[in-house]
Amino acid sequence: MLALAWSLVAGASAVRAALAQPPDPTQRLEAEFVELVPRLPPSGEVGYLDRYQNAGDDDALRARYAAQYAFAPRVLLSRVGPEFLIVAEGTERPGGDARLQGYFLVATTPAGHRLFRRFAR
Amino acid sequence: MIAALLGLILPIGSTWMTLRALGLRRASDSAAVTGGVACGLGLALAAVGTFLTLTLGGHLSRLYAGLDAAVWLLVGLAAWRVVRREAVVPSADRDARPALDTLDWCVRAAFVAVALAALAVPVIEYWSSPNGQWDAWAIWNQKARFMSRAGPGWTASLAVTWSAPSHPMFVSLAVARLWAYAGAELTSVPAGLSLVYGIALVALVVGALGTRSRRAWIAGAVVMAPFTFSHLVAAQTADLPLGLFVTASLVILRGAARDGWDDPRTVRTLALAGLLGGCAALTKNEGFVFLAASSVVVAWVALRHGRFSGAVWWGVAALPLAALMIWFKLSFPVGTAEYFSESQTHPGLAHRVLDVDRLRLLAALTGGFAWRWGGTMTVGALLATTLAAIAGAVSREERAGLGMLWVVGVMVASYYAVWLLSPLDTAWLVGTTFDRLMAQVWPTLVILAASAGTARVAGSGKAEDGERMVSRRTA
Repeated sequence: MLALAWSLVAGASAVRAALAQPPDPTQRLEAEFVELVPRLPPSGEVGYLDRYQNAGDDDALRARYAAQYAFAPRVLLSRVGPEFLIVAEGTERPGGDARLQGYFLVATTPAGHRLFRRFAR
Repeated sequence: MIAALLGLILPIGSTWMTLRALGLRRASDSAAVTGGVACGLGLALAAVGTFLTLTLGGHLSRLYAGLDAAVWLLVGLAAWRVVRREAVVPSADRDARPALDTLDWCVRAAFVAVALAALAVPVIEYWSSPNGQWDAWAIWNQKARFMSRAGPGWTASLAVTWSAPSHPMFVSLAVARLWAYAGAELTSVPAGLSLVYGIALVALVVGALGTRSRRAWIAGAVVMAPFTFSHLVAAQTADLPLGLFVTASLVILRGAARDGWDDPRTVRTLALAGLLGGCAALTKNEGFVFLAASSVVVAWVALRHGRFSGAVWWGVAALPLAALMIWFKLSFPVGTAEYFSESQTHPGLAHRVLDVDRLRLLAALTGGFAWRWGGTMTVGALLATTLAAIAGAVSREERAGLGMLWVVGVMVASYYAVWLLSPLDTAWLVGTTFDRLMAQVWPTLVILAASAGTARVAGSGKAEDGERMVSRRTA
C-alpha cells in the first residue's frame, strides 16, 4: 500500500514536472528552415555555415540539427564548399564573414535564415 | 490518421492471432502479456518488412502500404481460422475465482489514477514538443524522414555522423511505415507509437504478476509513476521499445522456467523469448548486450537440465533479426558508435580503466543519478527497487528471478563499461544517458521486486494467473 501511495504522489509530481518543461523551439526552427526547401535540390549535400563563435553551444547545435531535420533527405555538411549554403540567423560573423566569399544570396526567410549559392566557376 | 491506425492495429492483431494459432500463447495465458508481446513483436516484424522493402530498392508509397496491409490481413485471417477451430471452455478454477473485494477495487482505482497522470505527461509534452525530445528529431524521426522521403536513398542519413548511424533502426522503420499508411508525416504517429510501447510495457508488468493479484496492479502503478518513465513515453526515442523487448523476452523466459524445462511447450515458449530478444537487437545496440546476457541464462538452464532443444530453438529464433542488424552494420558505412572513437588505442583504454580519479568521478555521478532517478518525488526509488529485486531473486526458490537479475546486471555493467571507456566527457555522457538507460531495466526490476515472496517451485504452475482457460482442439 505504501508503494501505491508513493505511485500516486509520484504520478502527480510527474504531471507537475511536465507542465514545468521549458518551451521547445525545435518546431519553430524547423518551420522557419522549411521555407527554404523549394529552392534546394531534392537530394544531395548542402553546406551549413557554423556559428562564427561557440558553434558547439546547445542553441547553435539545435539550430543545425533542426535544419537537418527540415531539409532531409538532403545531407547538411558543416562547412562551406557545396553549391548551396544555409546561413542560419546569427551564424555569420558581424561586419562580413570571409567564409561567404564566392557565394551570392538566393533567399532570406522572415526569421533571418538565408540561402546562398556558389558562383559558377 | 485512420489509415495509420489501421497500420498499427493490423500487425498487432495478426501477431496476437498467430501467437495463438502457433500455440506460442494459449487462451489460458495472461491476455495482458499476450497483448504486450503482440504489440512489440507485431510492430518489429512489420518493421523488418519495411527494412527489406527499402533494401530491395522500394519506396514507402501508398502501394507499399496497401501490400503491407494485405499481407498482414492474410496472416491474421489464416491465424484466425486456426484459432477458431479451438473450442474454449472456461475451466473450473475460472468459475471458482474469488470475487474482488473493496481493497482490490481501491487498488485498481489507484492504478487508473496513476495511469491518467502518466498519460497526461506525454499529452502535455506533445503539445509543446510534437516532434519529441532531442534524440527523437535528431536521430529516430529524422531517419524515418529519410526513409519516407528518399526510399532506398535513406542511406544518405548514415553520413550524418551525429545522428547515431550505427544504431539499429526499429523505431525509425516503424514510424516511416505508418507515415506511408497515413500518406503524410504526422507528428502523432511517432507520439502514438511511443504511447503504445509504454502501454504494452505496463501490460507486461501487470500480466507477468497475474492480473488477479493486487501486487500486479501496484507494480503496474509503480512502473509508470516516475517522471522518467512518462517523460520517455513523450520522448519518442528507442529506450522504451528496447525496455519493452527486454521485459517481454524475460517474462516469457520466466514463464518457461515456471512451466518447467521438461514441459513440451517450453521449446516453443523459448523460441518466442528468443525472437523477442532478436527484436531487442533490432532496436538498439544495447539489445545485443541483452541477447548475449540472456543466451548465458538459457545455456546455463539447458546445461543444468540436460535438455538442449529449447536452447537451440531460442538461438534459432533470436538469430535472424540479430543477423540482419549485423549484416546492416557490416554492409553499410555506419562507422563506430558515437560514444567510441575510431582512434582509441589499447593503452588509452587501459589508462581510462585504471584512472582512479575517473573511477571516483563515475561512482559519484552514477550514485547521485541513481539516488535522484525518476523525478523529484521518487528519490531513492530506483535503489530501493533494486535492493528489493535482489532480495527477492536471491531468496526465492525458483531460479528464474536469478536469471533475470543476471541479465539486468550485465546490461547495467555494459552501461558502466561505456561510460568508463568512452572518450566523451564523462559528466555529460552519464548526465544525458543515465535516466533513460536505467528505464530500460526498470520494468524488470519492478517485476522482480513485486514477485518477491510469491515464490513457486518451478513446474508447480501459475495459479496466480486468473485468466486460466482450458482449450480443447476439436478439429
